[in-house]
Amino acid sequence: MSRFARFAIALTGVVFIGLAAAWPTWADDGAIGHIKKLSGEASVLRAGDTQPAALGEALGEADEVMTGPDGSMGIVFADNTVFSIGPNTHLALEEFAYNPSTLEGSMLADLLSGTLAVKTGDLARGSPEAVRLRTPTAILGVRGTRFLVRVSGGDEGMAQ
Amino acid sequence: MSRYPTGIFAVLAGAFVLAACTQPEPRLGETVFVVLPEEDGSVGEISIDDGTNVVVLNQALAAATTNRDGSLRNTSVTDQDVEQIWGSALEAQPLLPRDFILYFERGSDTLTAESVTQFEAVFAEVERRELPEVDVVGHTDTTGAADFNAKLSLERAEKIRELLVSRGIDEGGISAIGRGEVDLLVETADDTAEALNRRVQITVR
Repeated sequence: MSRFARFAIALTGVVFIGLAAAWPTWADDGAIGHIKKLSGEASVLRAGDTQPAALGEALGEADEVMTGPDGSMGIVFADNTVFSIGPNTHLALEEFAYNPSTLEGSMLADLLSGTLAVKTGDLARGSPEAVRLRTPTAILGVRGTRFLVRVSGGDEGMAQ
Repeated sequence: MSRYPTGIFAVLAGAFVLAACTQPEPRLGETVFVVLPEEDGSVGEISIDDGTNVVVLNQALAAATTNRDGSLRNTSVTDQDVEQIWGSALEAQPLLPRDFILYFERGSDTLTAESVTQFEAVFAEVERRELPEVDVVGHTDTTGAADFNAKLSLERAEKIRELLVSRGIDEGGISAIGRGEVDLLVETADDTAEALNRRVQITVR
């Protein structure tokens, strides 16, 4: 291989490593949940940057997830809450605080559009209204249960 | 031009507007909420606030939806609706977290025979999952001081954690915490001995 070709390959490798380092990741102690199931077109918006979602990816507060027409994703949070996300869905994780020793904390997510199935975990057991979900027109308080939400139409802001 | 065409136009326009305003709301509006039962049939509760009213849903397949003006009302949802609207979302559900409860021989760190079986089942559960995480949570009953119980339960959890690590579970994927008296399995008064509360719970997710 010519010296130029070898140099070009090495340079490309350095650039890829540089790009990978620039994409912020959540160390496990900052993670609030992980993507445990993934299918089709799905992405994560973090710190103003959108990247394809990865199976096993750690998620943090302020992350947003989006799925395309054939995309879907399952997330398990640190308190064992499970979010199952369907296609054409845009979900923003706003707040997640959890003390596993006391069961205290709170969780807030925004469903801007699409479909979501939820099985609640320890936060919902801990105190009423600890787990909340916002949609464009209403705010949901959850006390330990499985439930479904669908929001049609586009992103138009959240209920106050 | 005579008045009549204008008058008739005004009446027709009015009738049209009236008809549009009184058009029935669709059974399922833009936003839909449904409560589902747990595997054991029990149902929790969700309360939905549209800024003016709160709708509470606490029965299996209880549902609410939004009217065109964003206000909430109760509605009905069928199994077909659930499959049609949420089929793909439900298929995206990962393996649910699974709990294992371990008990000890009185006053010792030895697992009861039954608990040894539970403990072994943990490894199979970890194997099933591509990205396993393990939480070990120690608990006590309400005898003794809360602080002491918090510490004791943590020590118990850490011992089980060490055991899991020695059996090959990745150390970075296991957390150990103590909940002391905070999360009783059987509700009792303070300072009450209850063997069922003296447990370590392992959750694999």
